[in-house]
Amino acid sequence: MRGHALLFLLAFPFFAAALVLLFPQKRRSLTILLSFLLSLLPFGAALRLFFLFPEGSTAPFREISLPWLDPGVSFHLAVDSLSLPLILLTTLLLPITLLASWKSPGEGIKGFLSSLFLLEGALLGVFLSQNALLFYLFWEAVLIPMYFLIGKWGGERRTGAARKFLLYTMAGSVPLLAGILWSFSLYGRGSFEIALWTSAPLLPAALQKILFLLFLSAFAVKLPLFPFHTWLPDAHTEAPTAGSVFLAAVLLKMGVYGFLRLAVPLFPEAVLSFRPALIALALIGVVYGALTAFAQEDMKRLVAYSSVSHMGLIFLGLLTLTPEGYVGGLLQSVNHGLSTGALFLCVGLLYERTHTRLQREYGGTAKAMPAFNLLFLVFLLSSAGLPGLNGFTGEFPIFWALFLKSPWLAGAALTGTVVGAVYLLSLYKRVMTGPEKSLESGTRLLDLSPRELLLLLPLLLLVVWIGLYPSLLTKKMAPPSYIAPFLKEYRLPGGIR
Amino acid sequence: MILLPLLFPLLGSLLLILLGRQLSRRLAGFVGCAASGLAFFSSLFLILSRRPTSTLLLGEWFRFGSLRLPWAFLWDPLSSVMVFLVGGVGLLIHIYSLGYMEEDPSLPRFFALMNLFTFFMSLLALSSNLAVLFLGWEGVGLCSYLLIGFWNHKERAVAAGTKAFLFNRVGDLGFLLGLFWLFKATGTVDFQTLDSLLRGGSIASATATPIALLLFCGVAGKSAQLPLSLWLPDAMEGPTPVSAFIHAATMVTAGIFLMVRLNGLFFLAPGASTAIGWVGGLTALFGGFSAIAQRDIKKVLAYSTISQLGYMVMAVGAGAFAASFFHLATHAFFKALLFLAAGCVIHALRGEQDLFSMGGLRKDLPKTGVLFFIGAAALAGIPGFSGSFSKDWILSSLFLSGHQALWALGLLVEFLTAFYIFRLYYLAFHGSSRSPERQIHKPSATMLLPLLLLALPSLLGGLLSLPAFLALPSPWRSLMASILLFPEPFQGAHGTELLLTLLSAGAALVGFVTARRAYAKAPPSRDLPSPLLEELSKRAFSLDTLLERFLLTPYSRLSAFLDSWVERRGIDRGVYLTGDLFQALAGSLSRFQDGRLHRSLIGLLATGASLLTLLVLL
Repeated sequence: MRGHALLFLLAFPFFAAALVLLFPQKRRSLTILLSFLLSLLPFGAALRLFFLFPEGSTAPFREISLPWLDPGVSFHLAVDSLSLPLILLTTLLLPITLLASWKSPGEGIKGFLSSLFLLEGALLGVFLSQNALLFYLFWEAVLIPMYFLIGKWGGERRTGAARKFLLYTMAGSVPLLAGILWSFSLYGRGSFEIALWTSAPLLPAALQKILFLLFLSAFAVKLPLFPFHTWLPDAHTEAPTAGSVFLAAVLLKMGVYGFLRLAVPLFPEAVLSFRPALIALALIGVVYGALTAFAQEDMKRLVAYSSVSHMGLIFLGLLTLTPEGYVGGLLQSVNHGLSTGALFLCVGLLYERTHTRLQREYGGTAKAMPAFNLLFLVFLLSSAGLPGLNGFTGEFPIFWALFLKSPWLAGAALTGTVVGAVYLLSLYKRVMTGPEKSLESGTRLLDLSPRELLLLLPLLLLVVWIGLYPSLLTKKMAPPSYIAPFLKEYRLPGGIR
Repeated sequence: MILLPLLFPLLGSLLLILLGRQLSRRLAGFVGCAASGLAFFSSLFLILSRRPTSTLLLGEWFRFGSLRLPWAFLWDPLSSVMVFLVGGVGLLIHIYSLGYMEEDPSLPRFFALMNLFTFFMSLLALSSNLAVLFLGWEGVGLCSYLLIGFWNHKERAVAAGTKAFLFNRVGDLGFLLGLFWLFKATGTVDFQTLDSLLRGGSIASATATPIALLLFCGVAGKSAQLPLSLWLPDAMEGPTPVSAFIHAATMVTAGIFLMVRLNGLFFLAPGASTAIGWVGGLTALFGGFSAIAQRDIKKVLAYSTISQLGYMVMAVGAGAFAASFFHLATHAFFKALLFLAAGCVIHALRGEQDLFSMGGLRKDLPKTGVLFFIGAAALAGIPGFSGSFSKDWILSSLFLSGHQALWALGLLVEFLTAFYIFRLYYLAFHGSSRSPERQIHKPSATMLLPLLLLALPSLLGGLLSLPAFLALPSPWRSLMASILLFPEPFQGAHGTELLLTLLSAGAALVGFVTARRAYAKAPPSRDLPSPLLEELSKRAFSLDTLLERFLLTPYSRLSAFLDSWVERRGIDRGVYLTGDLFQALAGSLSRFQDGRLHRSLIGLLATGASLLTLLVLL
């Protein structure tokens, strides 16, 4: 059965998580190196899936279904054009974050590495599951390794941040469980298979609304949608670099994925009726996140708030319910993962050198670290949406979709992004330029080591590649058949192109 | 083939970025100049081989549902002239920089960015649709940002770069909305397709007007039109070759280029054109007046650039695209000449930029003085120099197209222009030295040669387009005829045109004589007759202060307020309070139940209840 590739993809991280615990505790570098090599395997598997995935396909690919608890709860995995890019992103980031964890954290490295593998496994489970109960299981499983990553290996205020993260996201996802259980009884086929639910006739509008809100509570917290975002700055800031990268790059995308995989196909009428309110909240998030980011002294907090802004724009794109908004939103999800992930890595690299994340402690860093300067600048510009880099290729279709909906909406969202450039440029200005500051010991900062260069280069490559040729991803990102019917296409006047 | 002018500077800049620190400084300078030279000569070759109008498709950039945009490039008279200009002026400035930046430790980075700029500017010129043009547009903005802040240890320089970037972003907001509107209305942003639609009359004026106005926002940002002009004077913090190349000759004229490129669209939007004409006119006046009382030699030239860009925009507003683009071309040469000559002065005085500390330089720098004079005469529009042909053409077009008020404004600015530029010339080069112990650092031949080569077109460029009343062949007009979608709607009697030309020549000469009288010997105590006017000019109408007070400060305050009050003490506090509430609830419940309820179950009930309440409310 060809679906075994998926089984391998899902099982391997859990296997690796156990294997890592057997590695020698004292040989730290060797342990990390071996984990790095292990982490390349799921990435390779995902890459292979990506190359084999047929262009423009809207159907599940490499499906595998094993009997499990009950006829209604099977171990059903598949990849489709919605989950494919997110799976690729997840598996790409693990080797990178492992390389980034060479120096920190100091203690309990094996547990740390093991948690990262567990996190990868759980995330892949979320994206692969075709059964609602299985999906929920992985959804909650993500919290456990993340809780430990923040709580055990995080910054100074890690305990509070970890608890807040856990409670907040659980408070959001418990209603999701209630919603899933309720749906199970409503669809009345004795099955948790998502495909069965999406092919069933739509529920009555009032029921759709209640269920949608139950589901949304989980997705809105994860996204995060304003005003359910306050767990994010704390968690991002206190998490170790690897944790921040996964949080921003992948965990937030669970909200995008859940919304598209379950909420839109199951409750399309509810989505439509709540859409004005959701658009308003997402738009507030765009502007509010950008304005708040500008006030942050802590670089990690700044990047965290920029995520609030960016995710608001992604959600806006999805809410247009158009093919352009859909593809733009999904592509931008990947882009945000790459550039914000890269920004967290950059901040982490600086922190390892100076042990501070406060902007005022820096100055003139460009001079001491020219290679870092170049990469950091490119990632900042990618985040700012400069054409030619990946951020633009995601934002442009989103703005276009918004413009088709309403020029005012596009104007408001664009203003939010213009405001966005302010905090990014001011971050660059304060940290990288100005009179050079030296470390307390009086020594200069060291530029990137070959290892650090190696971990940033793949991201740089993708940032440019997607910027010039987004079809690299988008030709395999056609809206899957369970979403396509709900996307409204706009017909342009017959200009010749 | 038409990508050669793009390829060389791109390669040069990549080479310098990747290997810059390994190369010797000499080699880095050589690579930068060679890349720029190859770009120029390839464009020259393309022009001389009389390559016909052609497009080149390189696959698709975007393919998202209705959004399909190819990587498309266009070689036509307009793009070839622009690429030629960029390449030519660029090459001379690259060579000049070899001397000017000789002692700078970051020379490779400088040439890498200059090459990158050349690449993006040529990309902008060669683009065949608005989206690819936008890539070039943003790319040149990025290079401008990085080159203004080139000396990045200077906080003022970096701040100036940031300001430029943000002002441009504000304009780009309009640009993007205009692009979307155009795309939605016509289904295309390809220039040639648009031209055929416009020619066929399938775009109504009611559609064209808002699009033209939105695109003009982008133009205002890039070409420093009011109210987005304020970044350009600050941009002078960058090295002088940068000011010459980017902030005088090429990038700032990208806005004009765009409007000439889309001349059919702007032609069909008369309402927008009137507004654009007035923005240009007021900008010309603002720049011209503010240039008068500046003490910094580069600031005078910066305000002058704002003013001259105002002229070009004004001409577009009157539908005189050919004249506007001609002024763009002549201005590129003489303004580059002026900046580079000013650079020689600054270089000679080791960084001194204050005009009132100069004086008498014509004895120390005789060649620079003569060359500067040529540039000044061209800028002022002294008859016979290139600037007079382009400016007279603009002014007579304004008059003949029925914009008499704008024409009068233009005439006034012409007087101001001659006055401020000769004020600068006499302050710097005549009289006697006002700083006693100065040591002159003579410019090298690598610096003087580019000046000489720029002085030639500044002197003779006007021959390309002689006034219509001379009834002589005019290559520029026949070139433009193939670009313009609609014939220019104004033709005057030869007598009227002659009269108009005499009037504007008169304005220039009066300005020249006034400045000569006031400044040739020693600087007077005041530049303008009244102290109020003097202050207004010196502070450029205090627009920067207004900006600071009404935009920047409120922005920071709002941001700090949101962070500390709404975020920390509002939303997040609410989250903690809710948590406390549930904890207290759990505590009281457990008393009744003699056991522990899982917190999440409570959470489930409570959240479910609150969501239902929310639902009822909605």
